[in-house]
Amino acid sequence: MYKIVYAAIMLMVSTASWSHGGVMNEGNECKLRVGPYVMNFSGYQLNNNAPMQFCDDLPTTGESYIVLDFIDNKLRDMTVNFRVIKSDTAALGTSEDGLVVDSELKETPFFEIPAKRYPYGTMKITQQFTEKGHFVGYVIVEGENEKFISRFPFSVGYPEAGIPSALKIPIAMFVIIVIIMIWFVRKKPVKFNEKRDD
Amino acid sequence: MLNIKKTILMLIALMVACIALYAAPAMAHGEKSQAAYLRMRTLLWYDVEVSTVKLEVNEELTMTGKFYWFYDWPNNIAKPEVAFLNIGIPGPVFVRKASYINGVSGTNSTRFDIGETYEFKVILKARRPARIHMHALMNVKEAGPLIGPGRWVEVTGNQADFTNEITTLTGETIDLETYGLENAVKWHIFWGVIAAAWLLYWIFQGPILIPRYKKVKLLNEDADDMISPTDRMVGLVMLIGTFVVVTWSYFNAYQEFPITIPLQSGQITIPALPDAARGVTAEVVDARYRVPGRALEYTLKVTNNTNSPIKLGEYTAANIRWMNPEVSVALPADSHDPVASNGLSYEGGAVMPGETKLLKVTCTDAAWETYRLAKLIYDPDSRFGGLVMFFDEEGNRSVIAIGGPLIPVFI
Repeated sequence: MYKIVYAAIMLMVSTASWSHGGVMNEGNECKLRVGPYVMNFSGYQLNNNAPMQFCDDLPTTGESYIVLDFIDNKLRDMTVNFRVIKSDTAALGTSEDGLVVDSELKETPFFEIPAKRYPYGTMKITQQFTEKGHFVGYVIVEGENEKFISRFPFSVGYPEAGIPSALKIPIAMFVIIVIIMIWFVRKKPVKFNEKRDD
Repeated sequence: MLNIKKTILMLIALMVACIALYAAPAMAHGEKSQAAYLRMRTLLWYDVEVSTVKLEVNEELTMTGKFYWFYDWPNNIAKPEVAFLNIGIPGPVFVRKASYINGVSGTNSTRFDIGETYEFKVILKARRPARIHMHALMNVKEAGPLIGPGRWVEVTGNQADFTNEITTLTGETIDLETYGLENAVKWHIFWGVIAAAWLLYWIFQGPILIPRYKKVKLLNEDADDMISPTDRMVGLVMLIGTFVVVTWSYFNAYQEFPITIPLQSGQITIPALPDAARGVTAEVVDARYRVPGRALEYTLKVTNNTNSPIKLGEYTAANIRWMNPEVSVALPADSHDPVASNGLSYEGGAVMPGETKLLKVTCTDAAWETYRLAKLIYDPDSRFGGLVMFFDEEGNRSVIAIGGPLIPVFI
């Protein structure tokens, strides 16, 4: 039982942070790092709870939008190239996901948005994913004397397995409270010392 | 049987521990962390400027600007019955020398009228070297701080050179940076020693905390026997001593400083500025937020009662500015100044004198997402607000507050 309690506590104290290469979920924001610059990454699917934002992985197939919002204003003066290639494997969930593979960059992309400037600081990518699969996204930003590449593997059509992350903490709290209640119910009541007459 | 008290205490302790351990690092800088509706529908700041962004210790900086109390004030936010103009700075990098609202001293708290515009000026004196992001700030009682635009300011020099001299009513010149400091330290040490002695005395008088509680429970009606005649004498000496010291210090201070004025805690009422709309009216007919496009689109019904054609040059909300460069040009003052220099476009052209016209306005920029204004669409009351600014051919400006329900669209 102690193991369960420890696991629940660790679950509660861990801050939500994970990454697929250049895309990482920090707190409640999904961010894409390209060199020293940062963008917000948002995925939307019209036929799958349209207002909901996804962070890299898109749980269903169909019409999808990926929006990159530039947090660093300097990116507005740089060109941004977005390309996606097909992959045989899913994201590893390790730092290797972020390593740029030259051979991938030479491949003909599954789809590509050619390099151009985005003065509004927002880049919208629309894509119809007809079948599920694994992909690798590349974001290449280029300024006058600098060029940075970010790689992020993602999947389409694979719903998140297990408990949704938003429910993990409430469930952990509930389990801990139940365990504590059971623990105290089975113990004998504590009595105060009574005054002795002698 | 369940021990309710102990269980509740355990649960509280566990929850406190979890919350303390779970506390993630703060990501936001403050201005983004407030709810979108709060930033768009309470206090709308504009024309905020600082006189300089680089100065030395002892030099002065003036922040000026205007603010408008939004007419469609959220029901759940306290109205500005008591408000105080302030400046948000991380740490005492500056001291405030003076502040004015519509030319009236802003030393006291003020009551403001919803739907009215005021201008402000705050004079600050650099105290210590730092590079800081400073904001205009309005503290509203029961509503909290309403943050204005921020500016990066750098103070150089040496804090040791800082002086903050004033002349008192009696003509004495004093430096507020050091005035009375020695006296304050002396009194803090004095009362600290007294408090420590009192605490230590009782720590060494038998059991403390839980053992003492248990002993009190055990002795029941005879628990007072735990306090000895010596304890009572020490308590009496401390009580009388405290009264004597406080009374003596009061009369001593009065003798040393016979001419004083009480701390001013009154409230003042300041008349608002004349209507900034200058005869132009505008109301939102419909509004949509294009989610993947990061664009607010609204139809404005505009009536021009001035003598000159007017064009839409700017929309501002939540300290973010969307500019129409064909009419009004503004560039970001620094790396964190959210100005969409070409973020505003509209169909409909100029509104002629006496004409009423529908304008289709689009405000596009990543700021909707990066400044978390798009969160508005997840609110149960998705209403937006802001100021639109029209300009005539001579550059005269009309500022009008607009707002209304917002519908999200995804295509």
